[in-house]
Amino acid sequence: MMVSNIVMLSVLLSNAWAIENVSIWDGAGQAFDKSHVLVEGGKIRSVGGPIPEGTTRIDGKGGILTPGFIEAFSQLGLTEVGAVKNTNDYVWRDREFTPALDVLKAFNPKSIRIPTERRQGVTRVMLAPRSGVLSGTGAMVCLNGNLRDLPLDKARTALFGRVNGRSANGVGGSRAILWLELEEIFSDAKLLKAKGRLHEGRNLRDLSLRADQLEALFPLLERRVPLVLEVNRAVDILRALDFSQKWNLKMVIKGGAESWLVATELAEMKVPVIVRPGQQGPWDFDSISSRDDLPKLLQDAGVPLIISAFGYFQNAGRLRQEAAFGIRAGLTKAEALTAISWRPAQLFSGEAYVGRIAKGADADLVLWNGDPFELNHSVERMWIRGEKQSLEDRALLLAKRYYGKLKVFHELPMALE
Amino acid sequence: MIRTLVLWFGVCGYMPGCITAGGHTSKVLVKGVAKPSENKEIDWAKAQGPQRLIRGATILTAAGAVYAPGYLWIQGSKIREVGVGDGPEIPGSMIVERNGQFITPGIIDTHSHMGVYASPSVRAHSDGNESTGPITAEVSAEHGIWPLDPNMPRAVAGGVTTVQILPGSANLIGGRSAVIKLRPANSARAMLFSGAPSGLKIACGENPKGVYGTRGGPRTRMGNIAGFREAFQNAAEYKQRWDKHLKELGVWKEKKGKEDDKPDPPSRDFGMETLMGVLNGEILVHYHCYRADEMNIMLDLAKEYGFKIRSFHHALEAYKLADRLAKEGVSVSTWADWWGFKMEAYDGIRHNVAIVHKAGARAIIHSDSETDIRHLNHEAVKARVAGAELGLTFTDDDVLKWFTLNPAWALGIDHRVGSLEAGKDADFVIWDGHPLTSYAKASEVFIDGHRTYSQEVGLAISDFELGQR
Repeated sequence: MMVSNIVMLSVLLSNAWAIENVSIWDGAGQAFDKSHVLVEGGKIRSVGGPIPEGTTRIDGKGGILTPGFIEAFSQLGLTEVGAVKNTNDYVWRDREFTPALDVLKAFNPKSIRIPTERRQGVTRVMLAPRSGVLSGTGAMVCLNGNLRDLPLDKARTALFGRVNGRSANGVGGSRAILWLELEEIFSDAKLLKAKGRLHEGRNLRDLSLRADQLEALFPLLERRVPLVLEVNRAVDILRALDFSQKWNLKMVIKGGAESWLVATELAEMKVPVIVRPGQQGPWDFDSISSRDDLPKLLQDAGVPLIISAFGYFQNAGRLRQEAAFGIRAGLTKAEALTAISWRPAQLFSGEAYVGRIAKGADADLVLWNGDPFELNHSVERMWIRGEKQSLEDRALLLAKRYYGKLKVFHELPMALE
Repeated sequence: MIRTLVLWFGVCGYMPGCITAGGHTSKVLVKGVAKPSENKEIDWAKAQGPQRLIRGATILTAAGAVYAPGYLWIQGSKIREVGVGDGPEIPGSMIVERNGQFITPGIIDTHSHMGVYASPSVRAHSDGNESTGPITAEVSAEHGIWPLDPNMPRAVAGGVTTVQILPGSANLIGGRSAVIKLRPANSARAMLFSGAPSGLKIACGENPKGVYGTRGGPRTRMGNIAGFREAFQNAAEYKQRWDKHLKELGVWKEKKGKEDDKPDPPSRDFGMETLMGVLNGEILVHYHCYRADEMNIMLDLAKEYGFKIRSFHHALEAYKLADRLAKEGVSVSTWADWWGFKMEAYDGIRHNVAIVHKAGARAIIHSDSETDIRHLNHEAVKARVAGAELGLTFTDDDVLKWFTLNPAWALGIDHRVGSLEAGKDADFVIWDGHPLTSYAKASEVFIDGHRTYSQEVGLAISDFELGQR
């Protein structure tokens, strides 16, 4: 009796709760009908296991429970208004190689955009800088709006860069220059890492970049973080793979319009590709061989597939629509879900265990009133680390302010007549 | 059997010259000339062209009715009949079974820059903004369209059959639009929707003042409005001269005057002619405008010069003046979820379409994008579910109208397209699932009775892509 009291007390203290009567799509390829999840201390304690007496129970009313979606490439919280320069924190203007640009330091968890994107089921985003050839360092953040629990030191990061006709133009013209410069920078970084400084004979050699910029490449050389390169042309992807082999990097391809042409190599080297299924087309000379069934071709070839909306600002909420395009292109729903939850989590989330509904994972959970990839369904409730998230955003407040009061606003202009 | 019958339709690949459109003649626009052609009663007894009966599918007409299942009877380039059940016995017609599929009108987009900003997106293909001066009413999108833009067949594969190609929004008055059917052709003129009225692109707000702020103005919203008023004042005076001339000409004709006494016409100015067309109600005004206060100013300005605004484009704050828009008969062409990319887009809300619709104005989902144009049906679903947050509900037919009949009205062609009704153009889409869901794909798209896309044959690739894939 006393023991069970203690157990109950600990359950209450640890703020345990359970969501019942849901179909679980776990993000890692499995589905469980009529199941439940027990959450304690912000973590998933069990899936389909016993629910202790006295636990707060939430009726999911037969809805679908998914892990929170993860946007693998985002500027959410790094910009408020695209056309207002002073609100944009994802670029280092007029520089081509800026690995030390660590955008996490600029992330604004109170961004007005976050509630709007979050309410489409997105709980975490990979912040990504987007300028130059080596754009800088990104980090995974969660969208709970909390000012104080940013993972400033612990964050698993990634380095972002771009290899295409446009970025080559920025370094003087040819893509060959671009690889030449990258070689020089990486060899400097390797030397600096090994010796602490760079000598040439008795003299200090000129660094290709400032020391702090080179130091920002060390985690890449240690294979602690991946290099996410935006590359679309098939042959450029092969060159990127060569580069990653030479420097022993963990490579990720973003964009990958023509990646299906080199899917064998990508699969062999287990290089993930981040694609936007709904935006395939011959936009430029880097993506002439683009295809709408790109996600399916990569999936079937065994390439680790990640789906993103690539958005500057408003697009994280379109992640589920992009996943739906993937399904239209031939993916199963489970594959599409994995591509926006468990797979980006494995790649980016570092110490955090997110992106799936499994024992021990952070309780980033989203309850849907139907198939989340059907756009006429919506989020009923959602939680980040077990904490309920508001579904209200500024758009809804504006809608409520005006809808029903239109007559008032009608009178004003008419008075001008 | 079905497959053989399908082949009868004849797949027209996206090749120039495969189908040619009816003629289009350029005319001096003065009152009473070049009006949109009326939809004449068709004398079916004399009608030509092969007859096809498509049956077994659920037909969403966008005219109120849903036939589940229904039949669609096509003759030549027109819809002869649409109704519930299997339809009549028609000797000599081909029967196409489409059990379990869905048929909708062809999708219509009021706002596209395909052709004038074609792919590949290189500077040489930037033909949408004549940004050499803030008023360029004399130019026409028709002359900037590259008909081989690879985005066009991709839009067709998304169920789109008619689009309005607009000049960009750099200028206060950017020029005439071109309403085209996405028929393969080797000139924009051959794609023109014959009989569609001309449209004019006008833009207020941040874009023109941003483009010209350091280039002689306008630099402010004040300057924008001053620019419009100056242009329309000039147009009113130009019209006065032409009206006077036409009156004198009429008198001269009536009197059977001598050739030497024939009144000289005023000098012709193509920009002024376009604006005169607006004042005469012959050219439809498409106003790029985001903020409610600016839309109010524009409505007042239109009133001052006696013209109508047919559609506000983007119009992210339309929900703030939706009842005025309803009262004045102005449609709203907007997105489902774009917002916040610039200050005048900051108050954009996903509920805009729903509120505008419920206020009684015509709501339209437009694309302004070569990718969103491929799934306007999805965009409409997003707008619908946003309405549900406010307790607003819409029938499938309502939602369908947002990207079919309502845009047809905005373009002045709703008597010809936008719904599946007898006598209208045979522009329609057969879907392999319900079109208001995520997974449905167009299985066949017909324009003027011609099968322009089929899933079975696949995407028709453009000349540019040929040999490169």
